[in-house]
Amino acid sequence: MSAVSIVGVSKMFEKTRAVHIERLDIPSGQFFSILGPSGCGKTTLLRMIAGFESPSSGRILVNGDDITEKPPQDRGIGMVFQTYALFPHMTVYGNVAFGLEVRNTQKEEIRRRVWESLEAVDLVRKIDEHVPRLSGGEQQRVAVARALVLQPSILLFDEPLSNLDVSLRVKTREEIRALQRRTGITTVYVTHDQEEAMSLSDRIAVMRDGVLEQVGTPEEVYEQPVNPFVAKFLGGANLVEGHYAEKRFTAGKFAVSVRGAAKVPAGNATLAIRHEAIIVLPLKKAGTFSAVVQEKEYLGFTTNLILLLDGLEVHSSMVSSTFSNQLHVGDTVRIRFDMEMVKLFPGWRT
Amino acid sequence: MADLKSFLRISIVIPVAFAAVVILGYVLYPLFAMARESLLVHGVISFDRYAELLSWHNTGFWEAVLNSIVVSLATVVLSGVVGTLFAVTLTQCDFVGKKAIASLAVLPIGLPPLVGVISFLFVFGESGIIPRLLQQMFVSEESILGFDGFAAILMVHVYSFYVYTYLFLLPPLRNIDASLIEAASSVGAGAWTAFRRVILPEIRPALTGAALLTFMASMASFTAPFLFGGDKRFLTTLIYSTKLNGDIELAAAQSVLLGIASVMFFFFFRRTASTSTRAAKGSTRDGKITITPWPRRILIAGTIGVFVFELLPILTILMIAFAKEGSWTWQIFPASYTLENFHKLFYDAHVFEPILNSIMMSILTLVFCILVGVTVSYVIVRGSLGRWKAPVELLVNIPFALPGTIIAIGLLIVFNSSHILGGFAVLVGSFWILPIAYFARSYPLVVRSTSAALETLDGSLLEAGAALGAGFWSRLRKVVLPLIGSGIISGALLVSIASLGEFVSSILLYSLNNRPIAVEILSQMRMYNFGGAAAYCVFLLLLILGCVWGASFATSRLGHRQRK
Repeated sequence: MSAVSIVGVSKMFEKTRAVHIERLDIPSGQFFSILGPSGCGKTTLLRMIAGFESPSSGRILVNGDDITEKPPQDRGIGMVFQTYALFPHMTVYGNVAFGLEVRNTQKEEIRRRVWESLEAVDLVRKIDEHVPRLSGGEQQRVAVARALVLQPSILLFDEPLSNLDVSLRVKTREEIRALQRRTGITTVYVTHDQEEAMSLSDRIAVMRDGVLEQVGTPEEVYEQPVNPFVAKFLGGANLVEGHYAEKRFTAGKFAVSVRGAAKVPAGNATLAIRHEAIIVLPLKKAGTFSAVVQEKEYLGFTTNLILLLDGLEVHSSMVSSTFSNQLHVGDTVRIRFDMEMVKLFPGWRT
Repeated sequence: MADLKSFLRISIVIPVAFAAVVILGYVLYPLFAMARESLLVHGVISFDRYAELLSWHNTGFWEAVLNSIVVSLATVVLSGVVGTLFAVTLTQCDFVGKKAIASLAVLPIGLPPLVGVISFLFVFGESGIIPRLLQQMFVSEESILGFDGFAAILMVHVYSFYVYTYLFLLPPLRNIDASLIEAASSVGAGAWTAFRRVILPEIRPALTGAALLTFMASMASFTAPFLFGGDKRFLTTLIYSTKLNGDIELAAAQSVLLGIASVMFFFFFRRTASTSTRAAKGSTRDGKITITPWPRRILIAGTIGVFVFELLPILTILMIAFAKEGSWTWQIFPASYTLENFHKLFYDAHVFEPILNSIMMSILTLVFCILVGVTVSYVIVRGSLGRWKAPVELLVNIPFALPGTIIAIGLLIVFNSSHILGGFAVLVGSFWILPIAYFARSYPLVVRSTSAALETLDGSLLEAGAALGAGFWSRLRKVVLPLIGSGIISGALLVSIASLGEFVSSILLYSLNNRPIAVEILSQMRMYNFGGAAAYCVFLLLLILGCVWGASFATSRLGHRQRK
């Protein structure tokens, strides 16, 4: 059974439609990410599940119960806010105990459960600390402990890592994942960071302009994007607009033969070429195309190039090697495509 | 479920409705009634009264207007100078005793206007200590340097109102970016040019705001013109004497005119206040402006001088409170001292009565101010009023802009006869009229301080509370109140200070059964019982000190409550 079902939900702000979702089912026990650029409606969707916004139409079901009309406090949902929203006038203990205290739980049990959930996030030693004195990462973990202590059926995260610096972000990401695995709690995680979504999730929903573009496992959305937007947003891709006819895609001087695109009708089409699908080779090697290096960006393990290829500017990414290290701006190179990572989509600009 | 929702709705609606009724009925309606009264001539609406009032032949009125404006402009300039002197010295210079001066510089805020005036009278008045001293030193027939009339009013005003300039200038002067000055001097600007072109623009919004507030306060000032004005009439004292002469309709018309002017200034003040926030881009470097030694010495000397001048009246009033009755007639200092004045306060029930009245009325005022003020702030800040927010806020804050005299006249007009709002009784002459007046004058203080605290309250904290299962009342009690508590307390402190020493509306509305301290101080003065008057003043100051202590205790308790 699905832990959360969104059925025909739409949300209007004034006259603009922020969210419109025909159906979305979030399976029980999964780590589910909602991924999209800022302003795509992903946070609004999460806030509707939490009960801070009410849908203009449609139903939201949690474990089969219709909770659309319920106030947030009666939904049994835990939430970790982007700013953590820890109560600044309370200690770590006070924050974590809050939800139990308003439920009139017995003192002894509060003490025990607060201890347990702080143990889970490895913060017992900070139990009496005042919240403003904690570091960003510690505050984040208190926020998680505060949500977990109530043993909610669903845990919601609203971009919880966006206020942390990069190194801490990766570490906290791993902790969140481990915690979810251990507890098995259904988790809905909103983010605009595709790497975060890929690394954490069992399934990802990609959103744009309030609408779901694709739902699937990280592998599915990365390897079989349903449209150029998903291809570009997840993993990055060069989008080339051109024409498709008789198994050949052409855009100006650029032409390439594409197989296995039976579903694409002849006419306008968009070719999505992943950065790593462009295999750069020395000039003397055999290759279909030749290109000129416009820019080079050395990042250690990888090297990024901007290439001029038959009048097109394309981005490529490769593992650094002696060959790539010797490349200079202005050099001419040979190019091949890894056609597994090149996708053809009908039409332009979808 | 539906029952619960309707219960919640009702339990929110009741306080909001209560606040609305109280503000509409006891604050705004009397102002409306006053305006209506001013327009009624023999039961018909007519502008004749205003035409007569505003005609050029009515020299009395225009003189009062002129006097008020002249004294207010002079107050703005002088208190601007003193306030700037204090702010610049205390932020930019270091010297021994700076901390003490900084902590006492806001003293006039806690000083009831009447106490300020009386203590000035003791020191600088025609028969005050300093003129007597000078008279004796120079063996003169007349008192020397005895302040009276304009000069005295001006001095009391500067004394009471320089705090506005001082407090407004503190933040911008503290946050001045020293690198701006350095940048200016690196491109060749001298000290004066740097001040004029770099610092002045930074503090101009604060100065403008303070000037408007000072102007409003001194136009509204009643106590100083009342006691020092002599024959000279000012707008507030004119309204008072018009009422004493029994022409309440004319007093209403005069009040309406002064009220319109006050609200206009209030509007300008809010406009400047809202545009005065500047966003600093990039990282700024806080630091002190380099001031060369001589100007620095002059600044410090000036500040200490003004500070001593400011402390003198307080010290004097302390001394005179211990003066034996009749021992301070021609002497420079009272001849003999006694505890009798204080003894009487506690052991003579008749003497203690005004104190009891003031305390009881202040407690009543405080309770209503908090109930109504907090509710109103909540509605303004979190009530999603949309485009109605600004007008509602302005309307609710109007009493803040109005002189106490006007509020008193409005209440007199409504409650001079039996009225439904007075429970079908005549409230003028009863105990209740003063708490109502105090409330109407001071609840905006709670609204302002609470709104400020609510504005900074992070909305996601309330959502977090809800997500954790706390209902509306739990969230209010466990999240909102602890976080805005210090805001409420600081507003409540200002309310109790204002009510305990209230004089302006009391003098128009008091009766035998609710005579407050301030009115009693005045009657002691009129009976030449200076020791008794001073003892009341000192006791009043002690009460206020107690409130200050109580407020800081309560604030610190808020911080401790959640600690384990």
